[in-house]
Amino acid sequence: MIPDEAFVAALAGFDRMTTKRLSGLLAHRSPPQAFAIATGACAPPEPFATLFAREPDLAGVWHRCGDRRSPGAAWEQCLAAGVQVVVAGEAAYPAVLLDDPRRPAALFVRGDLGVLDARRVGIVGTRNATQRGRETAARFGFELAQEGVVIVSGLAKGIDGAAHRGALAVEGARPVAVVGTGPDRPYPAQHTGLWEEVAMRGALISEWPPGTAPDAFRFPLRNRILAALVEVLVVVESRERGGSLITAREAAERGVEVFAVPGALQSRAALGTNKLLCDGAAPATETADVLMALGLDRRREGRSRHDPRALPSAADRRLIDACRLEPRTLEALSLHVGDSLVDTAMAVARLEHGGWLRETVGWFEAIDDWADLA
Amino acid sequence: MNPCPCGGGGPGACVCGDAVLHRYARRVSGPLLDRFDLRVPVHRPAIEDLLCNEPGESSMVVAARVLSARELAVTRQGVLNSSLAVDRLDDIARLDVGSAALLRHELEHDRLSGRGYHRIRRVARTIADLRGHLELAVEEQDVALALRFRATFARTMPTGRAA
Repeated sequence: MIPDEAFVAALAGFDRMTTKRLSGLLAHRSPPQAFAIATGACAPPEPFATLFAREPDLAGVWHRCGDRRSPGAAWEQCLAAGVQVVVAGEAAYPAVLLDDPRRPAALFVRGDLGVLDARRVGIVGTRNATQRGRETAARFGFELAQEGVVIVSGLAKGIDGAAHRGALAVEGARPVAVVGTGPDRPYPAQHTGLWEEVAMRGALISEWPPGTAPDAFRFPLRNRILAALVEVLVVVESRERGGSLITAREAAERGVEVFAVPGALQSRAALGTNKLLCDGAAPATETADVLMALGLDRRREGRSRHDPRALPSAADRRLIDACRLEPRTLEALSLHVGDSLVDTAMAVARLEHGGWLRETVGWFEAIDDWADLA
Repeated sequence: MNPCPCGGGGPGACVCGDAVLHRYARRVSGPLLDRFDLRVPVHRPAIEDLLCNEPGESSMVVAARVLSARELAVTRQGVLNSSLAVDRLDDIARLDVGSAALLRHELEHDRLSGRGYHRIRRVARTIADLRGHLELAVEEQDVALALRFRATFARTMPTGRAA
């Protein structure tokens, strides 16, 4: 016996299926009936008769999808991947999404949706992050998770991944990921381990069924779900255009408080976040800022992590601080501190050894004690 | 060679995807790149520097310095530093304690190959010669500068550190 969810899983994977179409199909009909309408096994009622008339090839496409993608096979795929199908209206469907104007018709979930009952903060940002940005994301993730906050992010590379690594470093943390591929399709591939850990310890949520490939159009759609799930959104780094700005807009439209981490004016990775600040987002300079928005303000005492590195001399610290602001070249550093190129080269070599600086193609970036998670 | 197809800029300013970067960096294989004695990062000049007309050091002055360093090397050992045999390095490009520690760390952290280790010692010798340092042992500052002329290329080179 094939359960109703199997028909939903099959339908959700159809080519050219949208949230609106799937919601429409499932609105007043059982999933098997909806499947019959979509594949043309029975006459389409309104508004689908109009839709098929407007897009004449759609009926054919869906008919072929129905042949290729049987409910039985789609269900097998869900079972194999340990994916639960949660349809809007079911008790397990997250209450925060129920009233959303563009709520997903169904969610494909690995892990436990119960974690959404805790306080939830979204941390997002550019995939092209700086070392500093990733460290900031890891730090926010870690410190917020320590306060029992559920970190919600997108598992993209850069800021997203760092935020989750930070959260997962806290024992007992249960982070949530909202992804733009099928829940069994880790993307990017280097985040496969992170992906599995989030699914195991918290919840991994997708609007798309198992097997769905990483198509570019799905990621902005995913962002609205992320925005709808959180109470507060923190954007760590973002360029002038980017997915995290879409998430921020979706959050603002839903009355979610948006924080942005201020960045250097010269930094390309801070163009978007600084713009958000101009547009009225609150600045997030430390975890306490975010906790305050949640009503969980507790000023933390002392360092939260042990830093095993030997403290550099005061002169060397000036170099680290300079690289903290923005990546610097050797020449720029030497001018900045007023030392000769040779002395600066020696200091920089020393600091690289001490684990304080990192060089890429001649640029030096400061490494903070969050580097191992960034 | 540019650091990446888009021309790069500092970290965080490049717009290339990982796959693109990877393909680009593969145009020169790691072992080949390892055989370059000098990998000098050349950064985009600041706008003020472009507009200012102040001339830099003239090539003639530099050439004279290079010539005297070459003569120094040939007088001392009969060949140029780049042709120094490995077994003569401990003699002619001896490492002092500081510079030995520096290179050991590079080796331990996978930032330097065995081949690179010998090459960088010859470069350090040349840097010492250029500043008129006649002792047989090179100093930490020579090795530190030589390391700077061996910049890591793109994000695809092994650095031995968390990415």
